[in-house]
Amino acid sequence: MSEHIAHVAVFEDCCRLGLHSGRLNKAFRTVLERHWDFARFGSTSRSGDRHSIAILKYARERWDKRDEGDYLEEKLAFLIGWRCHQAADRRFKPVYRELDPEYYKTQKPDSESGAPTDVRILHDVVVYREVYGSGEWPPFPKGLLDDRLDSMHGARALDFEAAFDAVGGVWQRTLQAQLPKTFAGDFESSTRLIPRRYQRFYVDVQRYSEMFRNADPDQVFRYIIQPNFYDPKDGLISLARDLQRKRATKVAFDPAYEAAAGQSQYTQSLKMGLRYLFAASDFFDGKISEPETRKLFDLDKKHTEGGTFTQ
Amino acid sequence: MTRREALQLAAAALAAPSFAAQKAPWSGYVTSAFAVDDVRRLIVLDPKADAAVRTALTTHPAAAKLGCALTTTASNWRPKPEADAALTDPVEQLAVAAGAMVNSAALEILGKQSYDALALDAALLSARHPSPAKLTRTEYLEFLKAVDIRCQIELHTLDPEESDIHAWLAGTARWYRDGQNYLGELAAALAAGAGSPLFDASDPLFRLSERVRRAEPVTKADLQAAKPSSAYGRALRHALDQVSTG
Repeated sequence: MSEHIAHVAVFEDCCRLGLHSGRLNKAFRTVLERHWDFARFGSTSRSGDRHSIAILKYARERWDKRDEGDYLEEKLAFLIGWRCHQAADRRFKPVYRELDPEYYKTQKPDSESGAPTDVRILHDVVVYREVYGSGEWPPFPKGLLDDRLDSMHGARALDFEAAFDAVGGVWQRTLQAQLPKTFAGDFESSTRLIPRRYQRFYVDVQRYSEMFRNADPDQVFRYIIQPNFYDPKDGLISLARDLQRKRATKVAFDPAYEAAAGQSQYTQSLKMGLRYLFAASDFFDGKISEPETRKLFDLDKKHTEGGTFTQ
Repeated sequence: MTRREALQLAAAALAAPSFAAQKAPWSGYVTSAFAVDDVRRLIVLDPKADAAVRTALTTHPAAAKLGCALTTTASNWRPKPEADAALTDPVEQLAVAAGAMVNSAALEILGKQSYDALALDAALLSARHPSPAKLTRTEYLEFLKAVDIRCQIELHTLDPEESDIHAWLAGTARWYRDGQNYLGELAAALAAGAGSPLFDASDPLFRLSERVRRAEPVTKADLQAAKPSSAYGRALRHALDQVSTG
C-alpha cells in the first residue's frame, strides 16, 4: 500500500479521526486547518523517522513566537504527514513481503531501480475506489486512473503526454532547486551532481489503469480478499467515511479505536497512524518524555519489522 | 576580443556558481521544457548534430530539462573523465549541459522583445493538441492538477534533502505554494486563450517537431527546408544550431 494514493488516504483518514477524537492539541488542529494540503504532501515523503523528534522539539520551542516567514506551521504540518507515512509503511512493508515473497527475492524495493510489486498498485487502486469513490471525493479526481486521462474534460483540449512532459519537467526542475548543494558549484560540478539527485518518474501509471479497469482475480483474492485488506464495516473506516462525506455518524471513536487491532489491514494502519499522531501531540505539549515518544513512534524498529497497532 | 580573451571569459563564466534560485512566478518554465523537447526531436534530423549530443538529448529527456535550471552554458563542453565515474553517467551529464545550452539559446531569441511568458506557456501547451476544444479555467485546472498527481505517483515517494532539513522543508513549502499557484495561473491563461505574438502553431519548425513526435515520415531535407515563422520557431532554430555545432 505504500505507493501514493494509499499513503494520502491513511494521512487524511488519520487526521480526520484524530481531529474528531478531540485528542490533538491546538497547534496540531491549527496547522491542519491552515496547511492540510501541504501536510498531505508530506504524507508522500520518506525519511520522516529521522527528523520527527527534532522537528517536534524545534516547533514547540518556537511555537509562540512563530511568524509567516519562518514556515514553522508548514514544518509541523509536514511532520504530521510524515508520521502518517511511517504508519502506512510500517504496517504494509511486512505485508508486501508476506504476499509477494518472490518479488522481494529478486527486486530492490523502494528504489528507482525496481518497479513496484503489483500488491502495492492494487492497494492504491482499491483505496482510490473505496476511500475516494473512484474520484468522487477530492483530492483525486474522476478519470485519474484512465489511460491518458482520456475521460477528463481537459483531454479534449490538452495532449496528455505533452502536458506531462512539460509540467513534469518543470516539476522536477523546480523541486530539485530545493537541493542547494547540487547547484553550489560551477557548471562542471552542477552537470555532474544534477543527474545523481533528482526525483525520477519511474512508476508506470499505466499499470494502475489496467488494474482499475481489469484487475486480475487471482491478485484480488491473494492481495485483497484473503488478507482482509480493507473492510468498510470496520469502525474506524466507517467513521472516517462519515466524516469525509460529512454525514451524521453513529460510530463512536473510542470503541472503534480499541477494536481496530483485529480488523482489516487498512484499519490497522489507521490505528498505528493515530497512535503516532497522539504521541506527537502529547510530546509537543510536554505530556510524555522523548524516550516514551520514540517508543510510541516505533523508532526502535525497522520498517520491515512493522509497528505497533495492538495497544 | 582575441580568442584567448574569449576563452578566458568563458572559463570565468563556467567557474561561477551555475544556478540562480528558482523563484516564483514560474512563468516561462513550460516554454523552456517544450524548447528542450522540440530540439530533442529536431536534432534527429540535423546532419550537423554531434552524435554524442544527439544521443544525450534523445535518451535522457528528464536530465536535459533539468539543465534549464543552469544559468551558465558552454560551447563545445563535454564531460570530463571523473574519478567517481561509477556515480556519474557521462551521457546523462552531457544531457544536462545540452539542455542548459538549448534553454539559454532559446531565451536569447525570445528575450529580444518583452513578452507575456505565461501566455506563451499556455499557447505552446494548447498547440500540442491536434484540435483543442475551448474549456473553462476549472476544467483546465482539473486536468493540470491530475497531471500534477500523476507526477507524484510516478516518482513513488518524495526524497528529502536531509543535510539541512529545515532549509529543505521551508524551500519545499514555498515550492509547493508556488507550484499550485502556477497551475492556477496557467489554467487561467489557457482559458483566456489569447495566444502569444511569439508563437504561431503553423510555424514549420514547431510542426516538424510535432511530426517527429507522432512518428510521421520526415527527412533531413524537411529540417533544411523549414523556415521559422515565429519567434519561438527562430528560438528552436538557434538552439538547434548552438547545440548541434557548439
